[in-house]
Amino acid sequence: MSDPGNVVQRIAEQLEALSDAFGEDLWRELGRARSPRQKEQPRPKPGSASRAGAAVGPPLDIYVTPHEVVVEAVLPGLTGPHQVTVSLAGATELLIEAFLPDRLPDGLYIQRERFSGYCSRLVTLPASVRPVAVAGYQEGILQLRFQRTSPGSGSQGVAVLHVPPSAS
Amino acid sequence: MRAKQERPAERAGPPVDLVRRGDRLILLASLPGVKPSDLRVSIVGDRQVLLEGEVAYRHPLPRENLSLGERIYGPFARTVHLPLPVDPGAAAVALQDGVLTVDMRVRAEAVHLTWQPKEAQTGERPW
Repeated sequence: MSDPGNVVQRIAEQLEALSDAFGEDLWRELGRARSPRQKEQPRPKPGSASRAGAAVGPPLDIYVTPHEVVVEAVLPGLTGPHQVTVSLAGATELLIEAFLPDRLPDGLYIQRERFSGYCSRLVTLPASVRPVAVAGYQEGILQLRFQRTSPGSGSQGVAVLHVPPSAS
Repeated sequence: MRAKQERPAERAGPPVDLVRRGDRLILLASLPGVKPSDLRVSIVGDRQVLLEGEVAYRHPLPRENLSLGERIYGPFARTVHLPLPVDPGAAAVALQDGVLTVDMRVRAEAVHLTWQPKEAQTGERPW
C-alpha cells in the first residue's frame, strides 16, 4: 500500500503544475490580492499545518465544531454534482476538484474576467475526519460537513458555537 | 454609497463577463454567497450597469475562530461600462448558483454587409 505522505506529495506536485497553467486566471477570478506566483513561498512538507496558505484554488472557509469539520469552497456557477470531486487522503488531507462550465459557450465574449474550467485545492484539515461528507451547494458555495473521527472541543480549543450579534 | 475604499473586494468588485448573443448583451458576474435580497442592479443611462451589494457573514461562530478564513465578506460595488447602448426597460435579471445574469437588448441596428467578390482567378477572399 502506498504511503499516504507520498501520495499527497505527488498530488501537490501535480497541482503546482496545474496552477502554473491556471493560477493567474483563477486568482484574478477569485479577486485575490496576490497570486501564488507572487507569494514565492517554499513548499511545505506534507502534513504541515500551514500548507493551506500556500495552496492554489478556490478560497475556503473551514471551521470546527465538537463533532464536525465544515469546509466551504467558493465555486460559483456549478450546474451539477458531477462537476465536483472530493477526495480524502488519510484523515486530514482534503482535495477538492471542480470544473466550472462556461455559461454561454455559444456567445461572443466581449469581456471575460470570470474563471471557467478546471480548478482544484488541496488543504490540510484542522482535525481528523471520516471519509464521508454531507454536501450542499447554495449561492455558489459548496459546503462539506465531515464527521470528526473523535469528538473534540472545537477549533484550537474553541468549543463554543454561538451566533454573533447581528452580522450587519 | 455603501462602498468604502479601503476594502480590496470593493475596489476590484466582482469579476464580470460581457457576452453578445444575437441582439442581446448579457452580463455575467460571479457573486458567490450573495442573496438576491443583498444585491441591487441598476442600469444607468443606457451604457452602464451598477452592481451593489454585500456578502454577508453567516457562519455560526466568529470570524476570528475560523480555522481557515479566505472568503471575502462585506459590501461591494462595481460599475460596468457597456460597449453598446441597451434598452434599460428590456432587461432581465437572475441570480442563480452565485452567478448574476443581466440580459439586455442592444439598441443598435445591424449593418448589412455586401461583400464584393474579387476576380475568380485570384482565389483570394474579399478581406
